[in-house]
Amino acid sequence: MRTIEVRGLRKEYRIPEKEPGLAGTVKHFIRPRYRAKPALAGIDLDIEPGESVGYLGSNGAGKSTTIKILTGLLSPTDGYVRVNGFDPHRERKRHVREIGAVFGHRTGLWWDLPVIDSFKTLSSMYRIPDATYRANLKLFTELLELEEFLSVPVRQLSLGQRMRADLAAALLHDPKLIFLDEPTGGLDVNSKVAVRQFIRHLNQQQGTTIFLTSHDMADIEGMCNRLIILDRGSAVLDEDIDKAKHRLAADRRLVVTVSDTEDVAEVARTVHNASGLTCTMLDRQRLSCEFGRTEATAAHLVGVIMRAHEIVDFELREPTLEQMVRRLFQQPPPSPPPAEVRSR
Amino acid sequence: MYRGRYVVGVLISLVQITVLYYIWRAIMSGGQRHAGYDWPQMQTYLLLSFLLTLVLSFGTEERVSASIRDGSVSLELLKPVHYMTLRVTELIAALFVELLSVGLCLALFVSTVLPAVPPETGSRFLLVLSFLLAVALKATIAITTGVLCFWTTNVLGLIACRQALALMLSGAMFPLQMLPDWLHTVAYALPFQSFFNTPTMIYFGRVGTADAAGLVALQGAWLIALAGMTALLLNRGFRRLDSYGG
Repeated sequence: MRTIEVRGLRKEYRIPEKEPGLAGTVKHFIRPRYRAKPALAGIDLDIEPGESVGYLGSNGAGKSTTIKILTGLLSPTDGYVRVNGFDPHRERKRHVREIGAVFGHRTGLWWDLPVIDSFKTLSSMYRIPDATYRANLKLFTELLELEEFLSVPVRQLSLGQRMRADLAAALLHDPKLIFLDEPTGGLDVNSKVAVRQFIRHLNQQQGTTIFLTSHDMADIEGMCNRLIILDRGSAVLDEDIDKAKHRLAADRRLVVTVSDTEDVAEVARTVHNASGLTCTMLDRQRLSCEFGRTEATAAHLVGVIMRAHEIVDFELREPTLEQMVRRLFQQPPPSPPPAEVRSR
Repeated sequence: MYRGRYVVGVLISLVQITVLYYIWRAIMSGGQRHAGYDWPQMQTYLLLSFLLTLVLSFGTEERVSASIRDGSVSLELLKPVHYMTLRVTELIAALFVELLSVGLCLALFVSTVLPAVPPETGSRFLLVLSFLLAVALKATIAITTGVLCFWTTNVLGLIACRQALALMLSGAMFPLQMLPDWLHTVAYALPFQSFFNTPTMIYFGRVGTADAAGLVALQGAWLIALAGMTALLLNRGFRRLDSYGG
């Protein structure tokens, strides 16, 4: 049985249509008008046990809607959805027993209770066997370093602490599938790393299936094996993450600054003769060469230039996720592109 | 912060009961009976009123409606329990804490100012049952008010409205027998008298066992009706949430 099976999933929201100004407000109050806004326009998903899937897309692409439907919080407008063999919305109570879910911007804990009390409440809610509860509590306390704030009320935790507590809470009942909606949003670097390592550990050591959404490509690279990119309610890409990176990240950019005694046009010619690449001149001293992973290596290019010319500086720019996604949608990139990897 | 809020809550209730106590003492200073109650009975009446008003009064509706207002209600669906079960369990927990403080106030009052009259009822069983049903009704209507927040965010307005009606028509402020006939009829047609009038009538033996059983049955009927209505509202509320996107 597949862990997640989705066919032709559609979801429409009803949104109020209001004309501008006071008159519009009054009109809407007396006779509200709504229109249907499609959030998901037909999604197909097949996720096998043990996979780790990153679900990526810009705001409003339908990520959260998908995750809410898969966790049973919302009903699909149309389409077939099975998660662990359940219809998530219709069989909600039985379905949620088998999954864990963390929504980064909301907490599933009791705001006024100490963390440990929330855990105990969940333990009886999910009827977790005592031995399992104690073993998991011990494991998570260790891996997520919960010890110092187990007895602190949730409202007094820092965001990073709360996130770690929420993760533990969502996993106490040993779910074989977990959903994570923006699990690292707003966290500092250390907390992000801790969360990623933990999720990785679950996936690799315990075979837990992971379904996560994020804006942060590093999140997805750090935790997932498979990448699904969503745009305006449709999946526009679904493949192995390394393949996707290889294919999408085909074009890297080498920006070279030569000393003022050099002629940039001459440098461009050198590169062209040696590798067939066409470089663009950025200004009198700088030129930019784009090249695919199959066409050349950065080391080779730098070597070619340095043998004939005097280099002051060079940068290697890896395309960011944003650029990759934009490439995917065939839209022109804005200038200048932000640098991600920089070497001197 | 929470301790302060709790203490203030108890203090407000104490002020209310004190004011009510002195008003009634003034009214009854002539020695005559009102609605058939003499002064010691009236003191006990006020005590019962205090008790039942205080139970489930510390921001119950606010607490119930909070998750609906801030949208986290959809996340509560991630837990493998029914929404109502979650709320009722919370209310029972709150009840324990409150019973502690109410019990304390009660002991203080009975031992100092108010010599309570023992119940003069034919059936202890009906008496206890009617008190339990009164508390259950109060919990249910709190959840109903909370659920209405799917449609309006004005929870304070709803609470004020509910409180005003309950105060006048439940008998908590004065015995319902003192109302003019037509209003008396209206009061009996509404659920509020089940909250307070029924248990006190039984407490003071104002109704025979048969009538008492009838009133308790009415309480039960209201409980089922209100719970059913709340479940219906809840269903509609969640469907609304579903179409607006949570």
